[in-house]
Amino acid sequence: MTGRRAPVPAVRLAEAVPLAYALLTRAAQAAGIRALAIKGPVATAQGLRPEMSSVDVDVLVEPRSLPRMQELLDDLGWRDDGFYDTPGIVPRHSVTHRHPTWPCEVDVHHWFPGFLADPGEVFDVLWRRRTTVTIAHVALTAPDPVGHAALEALNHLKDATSPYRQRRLEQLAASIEATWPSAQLAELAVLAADTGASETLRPFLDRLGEPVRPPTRSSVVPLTDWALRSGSQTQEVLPWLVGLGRVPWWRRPGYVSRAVWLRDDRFRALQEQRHGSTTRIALLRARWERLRRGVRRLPQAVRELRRIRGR
Amino acid sequence: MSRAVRRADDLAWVDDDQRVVVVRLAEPALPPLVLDGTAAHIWRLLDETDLDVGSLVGDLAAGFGAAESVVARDVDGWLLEAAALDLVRLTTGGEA
Repeated sequence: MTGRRAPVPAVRLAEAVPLAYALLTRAAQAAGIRALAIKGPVATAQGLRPEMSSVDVDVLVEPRSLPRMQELLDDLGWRDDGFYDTPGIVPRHSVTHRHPTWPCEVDVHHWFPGFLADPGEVFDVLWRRRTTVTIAHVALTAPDPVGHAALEALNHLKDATSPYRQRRLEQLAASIEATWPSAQLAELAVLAADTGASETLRPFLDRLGEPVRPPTRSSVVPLTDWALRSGSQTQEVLPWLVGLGRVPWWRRPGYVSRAVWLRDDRFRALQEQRHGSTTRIALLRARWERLRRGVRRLPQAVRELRRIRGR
Repeated sequence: MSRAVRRADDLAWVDDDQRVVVVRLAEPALPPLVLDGTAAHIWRLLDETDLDVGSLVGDLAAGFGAAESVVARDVDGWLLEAAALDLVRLTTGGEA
């Protein structure tokens, strides 16, 4: 009879995800950072998504604690190697950290698109309703099913034109319809009103037959930006177009050149992540392909911009 | 003298029936540990309350049809190693 125990550089993805959820949510807690484990296996445990494999860990932290959370992750060897120089239609909502020996990445969110109220206030609303969910035999702090359902629904609605996201939203609605009492549905509408999500969650609340309530907080992100984000089919092009309208005229030439070509280090890192190849020829070919895709989608992006702005 | 063993506190672990992978929550910078073979079998018999090491050896020997003396040697070795890694808590006699 033999037994082996060894440090594991080769921990598998299916093992790594629940373990990293437990490790990092607890590490945040130990450091006094308010953090909620969200999405992935946490949502599955609450009956909000089917059993499926996850490739990353998602944690929502109190917005003002984001720098501390990043520092903590850095101390633990989880480095922020994301590039954040491409424009987004709605403000950036997360950063991505990776570890050389863990196969999953961790996305640290400091707000969640679709909750249009002040991110700190939104976090407080979700935090007040928090619960615990057991992942990898550890009780983790997580949003309660009502808060989590709102977050999951917004995650699907932010790409509302994607058939995959539409299916997932329908699955979520069907699951809630089958298991939630009507009082809990009403709580969802109240939570939407308290987080600036009455309008962004309207399609979901309509689907559930739950009346939309007027917002109780003012929005800090315009609803039109959300509409642009969620109604677009040209996510590779539209944010650059929207961004162009937001930069001062004297920065536009540099902006356009960056949009067309991207920074060298940014492009190399992207290619390495996606294809593992960064030879000079491979990079040139990838740049050319990206440019072709962009030019092909530009007319549709312009039409989308006009259509959504004209609503 | 009787000895007892239990899983240590503050561990996260997953088990896919092939192997068990454990992380120590109090030491989040340390890499995960893989338990397979005997180690995984022992792990599955433990919980968060004290278990007499003699019964653990007896259960494993019966389960595998192996001699208790052989099983006891392997279990002792692993338990000492696991205790040093803060995976289990070993107590002897009336130790708290």
